[in-house]
Amino acid sequence: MIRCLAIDDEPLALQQLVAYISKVPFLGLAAQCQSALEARAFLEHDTVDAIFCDINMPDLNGMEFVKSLAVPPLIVFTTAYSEYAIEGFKVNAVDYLLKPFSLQEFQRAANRLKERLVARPIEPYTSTPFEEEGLEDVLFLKSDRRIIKVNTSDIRYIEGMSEYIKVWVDNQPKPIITLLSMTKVEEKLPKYFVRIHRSYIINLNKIQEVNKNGVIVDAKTYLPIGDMYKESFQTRLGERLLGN
Amino acid sequence: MVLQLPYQPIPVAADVGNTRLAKLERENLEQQLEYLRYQISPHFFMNTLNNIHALVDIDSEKAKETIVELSKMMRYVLYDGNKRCVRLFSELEFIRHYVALMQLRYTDKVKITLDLPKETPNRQIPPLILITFIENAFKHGISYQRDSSIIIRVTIENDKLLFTCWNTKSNKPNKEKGGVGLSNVVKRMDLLFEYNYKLNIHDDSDFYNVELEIPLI
Repeated sequence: MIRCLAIDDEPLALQQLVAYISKVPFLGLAAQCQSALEARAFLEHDTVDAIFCDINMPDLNGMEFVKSLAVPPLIVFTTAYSEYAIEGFKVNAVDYLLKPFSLQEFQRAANRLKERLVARPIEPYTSTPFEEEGLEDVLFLKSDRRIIKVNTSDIRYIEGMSEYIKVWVDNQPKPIITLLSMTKVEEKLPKYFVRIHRSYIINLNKIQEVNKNGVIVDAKTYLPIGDMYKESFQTRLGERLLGN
Repeated sequence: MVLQLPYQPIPVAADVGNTRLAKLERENLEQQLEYLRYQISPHFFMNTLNNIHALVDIDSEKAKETIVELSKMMRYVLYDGNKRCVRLFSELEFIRHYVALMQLRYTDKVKITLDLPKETPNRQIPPLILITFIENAFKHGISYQRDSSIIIRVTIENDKLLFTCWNTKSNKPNKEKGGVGLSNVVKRMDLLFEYNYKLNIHDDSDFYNVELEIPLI
């Protein structure tokens, strides 16, 4: 299920958008908001995989709102203004629906969302050449023309940032930034690493606490669990989970 | 004085010239007026069509009503919008439709008051002057962070139409290059009424108020 947020200041337009979301089986509505400010408040304590967002709204326009998000989910703009299209693609919107739009057009946008979000199935752990040579606990990361050795057991979590990843290592205030995809790094990590979100892979050994929607790593770090990853994460936890 | 006699044919020639000049001036005026002609915002159409599209599923009766309303509005803009003068009644009907369609788009958080004369005298005015101010009130007056209201009032006094349009202001810093609509309508009124009208705009930090007095024809 792709968790969606619907934003439109016009009640009828919002109602229509919500109705469309309910018609696509793999979309789930997390919340509907009548303004970007309302949406911003919602995202302070919750996460979504995708946002359907109107652009021209009072108080705060949809484009500014999306630009203001630190880790924006996938965005589909819905608007009557065709002149925003180019700007829309600059903020890396998945799709751009011109009002009024048909269910078919909406479905196309939904399919694009799905393609972008496709959860990789959890593959059975297979040994890598490194493991055979006793190097499975080490990664070499290219960063800023240097090659940095990292003990994988020291990695707390990895954060995706478009085509880059940030590798957060114990006792280091700054992450190591490397040009690499989340998928690629995931392949090289030992099995105590789990993908919990489109933008996060976590080291299970570094988790302090898990709650319904996220994982506490330390007092300052709370990572959300994406809906697409909830089940696989629960399964991994289940292996070591005690108590009723 | 005598010296002027040989020049007597000149006034005749000047007369001909004047007619030609007058004609040119008139054409120029027509051209300018055409250039300044009000054009309804395409966004208004698209958003209204989107609302109707949603209404078809939600409330098909209301959808039909709204289509009729939009058609009447469009007919007026398309067929009467380029006339020099229209019946006052038609212009007020147009405003009524426009406001009804805008009301459909916004929640109760936006309070719209439209106060038009109960009886409309059989007079004429140039079309689509008042709408620019009403459109601006919707464009800049709506905020969901606090109550928004728009009050539109038209009264008739002897040979004059008095129009006021008051709106609360949104906090949004206005980045859009506004004012084209306003400056065009001012130029239009300068040409049409030959400066014989009154326009007062009060731009306060919390509200915006327009008072306009134009002659009826």
